[in-house]
Amino acid sequence: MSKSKLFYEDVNIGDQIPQLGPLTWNTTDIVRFSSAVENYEPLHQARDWARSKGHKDTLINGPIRTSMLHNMLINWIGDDGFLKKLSCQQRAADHPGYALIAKGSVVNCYIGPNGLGYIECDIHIENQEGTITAPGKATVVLPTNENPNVPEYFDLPNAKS
Amino acid sequence: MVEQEQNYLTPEILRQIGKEGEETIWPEPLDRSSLRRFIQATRDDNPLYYDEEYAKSTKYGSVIAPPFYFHRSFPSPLGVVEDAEKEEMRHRGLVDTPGFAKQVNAGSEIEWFGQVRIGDTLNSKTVVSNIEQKQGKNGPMILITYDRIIKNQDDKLIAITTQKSLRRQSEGTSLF
Amino acid sequence: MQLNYEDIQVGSDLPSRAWGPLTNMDMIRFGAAVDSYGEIHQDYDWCIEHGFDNVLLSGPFKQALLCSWLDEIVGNKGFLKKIEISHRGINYVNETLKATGTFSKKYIVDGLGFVECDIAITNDNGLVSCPGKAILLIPMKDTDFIDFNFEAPVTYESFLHNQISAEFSDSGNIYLTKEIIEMIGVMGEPYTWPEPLDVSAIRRFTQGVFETKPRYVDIDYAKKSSIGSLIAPPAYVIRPPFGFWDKGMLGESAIPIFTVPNTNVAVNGGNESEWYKVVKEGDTLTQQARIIDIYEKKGNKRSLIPVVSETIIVNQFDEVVALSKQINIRMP
Repeated sequence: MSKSKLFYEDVNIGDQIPQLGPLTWNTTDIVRFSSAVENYEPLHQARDWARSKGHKDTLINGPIRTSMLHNMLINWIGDDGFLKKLSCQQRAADHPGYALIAKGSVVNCYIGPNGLGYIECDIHIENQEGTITAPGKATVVLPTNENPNVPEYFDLPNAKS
Repeated sequence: MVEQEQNYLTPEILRQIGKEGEETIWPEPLDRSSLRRFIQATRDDNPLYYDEEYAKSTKYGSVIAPPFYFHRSFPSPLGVVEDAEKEEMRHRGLVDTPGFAKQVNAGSEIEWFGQVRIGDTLNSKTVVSNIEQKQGKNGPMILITYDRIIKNQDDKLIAITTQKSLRRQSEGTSLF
Repeated sequence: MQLNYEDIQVGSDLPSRAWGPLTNMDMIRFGAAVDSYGEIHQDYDWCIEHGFDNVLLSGPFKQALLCSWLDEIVGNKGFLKKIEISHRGINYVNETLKATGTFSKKYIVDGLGFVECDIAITNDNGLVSCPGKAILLIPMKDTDFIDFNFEAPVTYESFLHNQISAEFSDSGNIYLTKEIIEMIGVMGEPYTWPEPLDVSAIRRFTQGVFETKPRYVDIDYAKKSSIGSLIAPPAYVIRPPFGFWDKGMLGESAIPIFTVPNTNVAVNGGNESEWYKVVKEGDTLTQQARIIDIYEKKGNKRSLIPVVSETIIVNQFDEVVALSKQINIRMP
């Protein structure tokens, strides 16, 4: 957690986003997450069932990895930034007991039509083997020196293409 | 293993593109115990999401939900006891792919438009936007893309999620 | 159909009820409803590695099912007053559990009809896992409503100030050492619920025990009732303080934690709870527990060391809403 106040002008292409983790997700952590989102699918919680369906073990929920990426970005941009877009591909399975790290770097910076700062990032989750199991991208909106107020709501014209 | 690239996308399967799910709605407005569980489960210690004193000092003025909070199941409302199968079918049961029953979440893209606060009720409508066949290293797979539109009780757009589900060949037409 | 005090025949059976086959997901959903997480009730591999046949159905889950069953029997006007069960056998996921009972006694106190019953949970193999008793509050015919409002035998203050201790006398006992005997009377910290009782908490719990009684799940009904709001099912009121922010998040209990020497295992031996007031949506509870007894029970093959604790549960007005006695059995 950081109470960072990140401004667009503070960010450069190539900057590394402070990583989140490693966090180990054991079966209890996975069940707690699934329970919080009330997803009671056996794929993430019933190990015998998962194996009966051909998996090596239960799978760490995709949203667990997405939430780590989300938390990494939120910690980095602080309370005044706005997390605009987050995408992540669930490329490979992670299983109970794996330790995951969220990492990312800045690939593009531009001022949007609303005068706010847009930062595009490459992000990913890697596990304890160094395998990237969930690569993705994100866009955050930051205050600029000229436009320090990032709104709470955005309009649809910013919709993804 | 050399295999012909057989087309598994039957007309019955493809007919499901454009299919809309029922609109679902949160069973109750966002309350503190739901928010707490989520924050504890995601191991998030940002006080903006649970500490009213701290949140008052920010531009929000009160606790808000972490943006990712909305990305959760829409469970049955109070008084309805549904088993897991039914809840699952509501969310992903829009598309039936006989012979391809082993499903994994293949990724999602979220775009946010607004914040969520305690007392908000979100609703969600899902549309099947695409069904395609992909060739994986272990055989053919079917990739299903869903668009999920999330709004709050004032009809304010909160988020749009594009979700992909990958199905591999496995016996059975049901996901369970 | 409302059951009336006058209609109850002592010696007759309670209508039975079955749940199941209970799945791994049912057990997880219940655990989630009370913020309780742990491999023994969730993780198949862990359970097999530790010598069990499958994931275990928890004692609190079974007790909550019994409470829900009794609540159904007492009807919309009746209440569950007290329950006492021992955990005698293990139930696993995929089992079907059946609740049965017999009315054993009935009497009127201050114009209210109390009915006692013997109860049990039995599985399809005939294993009786939760033998016990309950006291029900059943309305007389022509009763409009029962005001569930009782004075507990203790106040929060008297509970805190009451001193309990035991004499250390047997220096040869390998379990009941001086340090262990000194634990008798030790009071734990108070635990206050992290937020007032809200709808999602009631919803999760009622869904977790397949509860459909209107006072717990029908907001309109509840608002029009004499209580005026949704209330918590009794079994929810006595839940341990798991999920609390700075205490209890990882499953810490309100009961002081300690290890009895020469023991390796701790099992839930049973619970006895009595309720005094309803807990409404918006109420915040605080609970505090004290060890009240530790003793040795010599068995055929080995000793059992029951650790008995009592928990007082009060609302935001410091009124006692429930008292709960828990037996935790330590074994070598």
